Amino acid sequence: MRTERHPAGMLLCVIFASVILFPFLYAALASFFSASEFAVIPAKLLPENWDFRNYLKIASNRYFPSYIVNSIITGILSASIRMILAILASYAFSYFRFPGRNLCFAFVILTLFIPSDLLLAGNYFTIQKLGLIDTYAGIIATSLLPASQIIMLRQYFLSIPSCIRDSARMDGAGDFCYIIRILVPVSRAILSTFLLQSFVAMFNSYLWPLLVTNRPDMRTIQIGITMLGYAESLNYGPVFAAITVILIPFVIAFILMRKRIMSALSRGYMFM
Amino acid sequence: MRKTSLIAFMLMIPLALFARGSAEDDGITTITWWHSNSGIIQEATDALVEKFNETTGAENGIRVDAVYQGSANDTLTKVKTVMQAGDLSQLPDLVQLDATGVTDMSTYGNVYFIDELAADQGEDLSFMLEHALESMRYKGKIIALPFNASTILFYYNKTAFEEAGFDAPQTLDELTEMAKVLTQRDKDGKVTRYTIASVPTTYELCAFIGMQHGLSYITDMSNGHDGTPTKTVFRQEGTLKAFLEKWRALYETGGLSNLTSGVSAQFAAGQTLSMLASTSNLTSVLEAVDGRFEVGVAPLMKVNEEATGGVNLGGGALFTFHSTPEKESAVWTFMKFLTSAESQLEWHIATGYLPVNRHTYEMEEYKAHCKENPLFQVASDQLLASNPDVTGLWIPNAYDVYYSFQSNIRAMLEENIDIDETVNRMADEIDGYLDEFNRQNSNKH
Amino acid sequence: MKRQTLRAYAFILPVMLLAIVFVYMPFIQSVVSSFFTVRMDSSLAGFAGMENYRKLFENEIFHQSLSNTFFFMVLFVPLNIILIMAAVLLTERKSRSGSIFETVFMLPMAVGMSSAALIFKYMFRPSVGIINSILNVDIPWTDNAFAAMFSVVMLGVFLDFGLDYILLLSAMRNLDRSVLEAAQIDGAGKFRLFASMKLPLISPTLFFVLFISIKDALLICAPVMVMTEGGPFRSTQTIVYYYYIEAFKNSNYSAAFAISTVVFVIATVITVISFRIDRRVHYEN
Repeated sequence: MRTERHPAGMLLCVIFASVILFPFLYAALASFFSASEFAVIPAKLLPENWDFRNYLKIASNRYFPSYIVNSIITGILSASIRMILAILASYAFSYFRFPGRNLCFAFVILTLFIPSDLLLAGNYFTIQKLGLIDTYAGIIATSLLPASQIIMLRQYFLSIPSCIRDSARMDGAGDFCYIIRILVPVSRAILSTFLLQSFVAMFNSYLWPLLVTNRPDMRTIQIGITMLGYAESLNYGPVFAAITVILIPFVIAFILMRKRIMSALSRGYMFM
Repeated sequence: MRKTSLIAFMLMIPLALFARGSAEDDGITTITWWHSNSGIIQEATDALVEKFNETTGAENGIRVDAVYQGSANDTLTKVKTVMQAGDLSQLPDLVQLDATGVTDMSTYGNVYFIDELAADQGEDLSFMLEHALESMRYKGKIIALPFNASTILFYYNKTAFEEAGFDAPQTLDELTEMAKVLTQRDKDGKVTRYTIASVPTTYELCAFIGMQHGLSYITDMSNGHDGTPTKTVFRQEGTLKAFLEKWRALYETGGLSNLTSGVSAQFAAGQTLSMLASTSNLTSVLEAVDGRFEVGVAPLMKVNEEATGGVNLGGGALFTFHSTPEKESAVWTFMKFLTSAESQLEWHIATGYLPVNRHTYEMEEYKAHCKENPLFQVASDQLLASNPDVTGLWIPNAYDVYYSFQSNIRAMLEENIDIDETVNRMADEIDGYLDEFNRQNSNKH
Repeated sequence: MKRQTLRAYAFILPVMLLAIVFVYMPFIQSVVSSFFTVRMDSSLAGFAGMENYRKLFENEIFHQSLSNTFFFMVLFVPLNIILIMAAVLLTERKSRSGSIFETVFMLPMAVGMSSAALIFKYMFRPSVGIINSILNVDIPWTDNAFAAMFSVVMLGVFLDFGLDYILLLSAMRNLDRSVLEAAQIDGAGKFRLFASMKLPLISPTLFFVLFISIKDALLICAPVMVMTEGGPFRSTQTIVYYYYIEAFKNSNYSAAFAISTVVFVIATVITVISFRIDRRVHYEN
């Protein structure tokens, strides 16, 4: 059902899109600014010189490469473990009847309301007792509980017609077989959205990775970004260059994945 | 194919999870230094450490690892978390913190006072600048080694000041007179160019109160340097009132903007003609102004003629802890290297921080550098002319104290509240925080 | 039957363990400590009963932080839902240009919190900021309480936009076409079609998005920390940021632990109420 949209709607779309795109655009343009270009009235949108000095600055930073690698590794680990745990738990919560099910579900959901800031010291203590300081396990440990994803995934699984599951059972499919053969393929869209969401969150986390790592070779990228400009500096160019560098792959990933996500979602089962 | 790679990936997860960088152990004493130096300051830090590792360190079998731990705040958070978890083996050998860290650090029993460390190594701290030592004196002993030292400074738009025929103001009264000329308005009376932008709070008041009568304090216990403060003293001594009277007069010219953040950017953009900021901002301010106008700096103006105490030394200092004899001796060796006259000169040239070694000021290279960069000389001249006993404020609930000053001064100006009433409010609020803190921590020691 | 129960427990065991070890254990410890006077080095100085709570409820800063949080919520939640619903309605039907807009509307999901907060912080600078220069205004973003709060709200909406958009758009696209078409034939106007048919049908998703928005508003801290540091004059200091200040800046753990219990109680009340409402909405349909 492809139709042309109403001109007013089109205009609104363009306004919305410009507002959303503006921060991306500004970060990219500001990454070419020199120190003095950040302090002019009225503020500039375009840099005077399109030179890459801010990018050279981060390219020559000796800490950056290992920070990026660490962020990618912890991002992948955290996102994939979260997804596996979310699928398992949502499967149990939506298909099994067992004593204490609602209680357990509430138990998981309520964790959403205890902000991680309140738990920093206690969790540091646990990680240190477990001997996980300076390990990837320590960095991702507190991110592994996918509470909000479990809420959504459970709803999604519940909306899958029971006849599909019954027929799978007739064929003698076990739990894991059903999950891998049926559940994962039909939830591909929502799962890949979650994967991306988890990855972005872990890749960009700051305070917790800083707390549980002491060695520079275990550090993640956000710590590297704060390292570029110091509090009193007025030169934000290198910071924006770093932000732009880590944004580009994510933006490309989203553009590539959008089609798959949207087409799978609209072909899929009633979502929630 | 897809399945195999998936399984291979799953197998790699546990391996990656517990991977740890390899730790080497080759008979060399390794010193870990946590700091919050970023940007150009980090480059200077790394350069000093590299030089040490190649020279003195290599000769004595010592290696220093400088590790960036986020902002000064984050570094303190980290140290506190480690302390609370109780595993002191996770502590670094050296940690660089600013004034906000002292109150916390003073409660930890294993902090090694620097004068005691020096004495135990058969040496002393006589090479250090007196102002630097006094800035870190806690209950008579030096709690941390001053390292990145700075003071407050008056920055002004020299081009605009000279156009009006003005030099830098010596007193707040002079600034008020200048503001009547310098402040510009459009035809609707809206101010388009302020003379100064600031809402004074702890940092500014340490100097504006500290300088009065040659030496004054905000609280008892010498601003917390003789132990945790129990009450404020600015009400009884009338020091805050003396300052606020001048400040209100300045506000009444219309040339004072109550701006709480982004002041440097406004200054660099030419929208405000002066500001109060740390000497350590000088390099970045010059970079941001980029010759659009001439930047001038001057000693902080006096509150009145009797306010001759000058300014306090602020910035960061290095804390260390009791450990093994080898480590303690290695820490001392490194500290001596960092505060040597040569290292301090290098550090000063690279970052603009004031040298903490008094011999640096006598070096020919230092004098030559000052001649080429007269703005940097102003900062050190101001420091050397100040009373070393004028110190920064070490107070628990520092964040609340900061807001108490800031909110009440702004309210006084914008809601036209009486000065005595304002002083009373601040004194009552801060005394309240101190009472509560001392109640919670009373049965300690 | 028994085997099935056992398997169910095995499937939820990892998340339950994580919840216990990394959330409930430290949290219960902080609740217990909240009934003691806690020293600066976090050692317990003695039993205090409800003293910490009494002090907290008398504290004006606590009241201000709570009201700041609810003010944020009142601005953020409706604005967030309205803007996202508008974007969803605009792109609900597929069209040639639609895919570009879909991509753009999802894009905020690609930005991490700290990067977005930094970008917003510099865009919203007063005088020298790009927002003021483009709109040709001189709004004191960092020195006016409402303006500062508004800038944090904008950041909050930006951060939540991508995921919420995907969820609501897919809910909308998956509505049963035949039912809608039948209604259209009955002569229902566009607005009535939306209000009486679509809205109720997507209400489970909408409820979830609303629930998460309220949760995000109640717990907002990191964006405030980066953008305004609670300023000016504590006007953007939210309740969780207040906790952060007491715990990490003031080392006033007696107050900090009490705050964390209060936050959790408020959160639980909100959760219970919203699930009650949700159930009623579902029954009515």
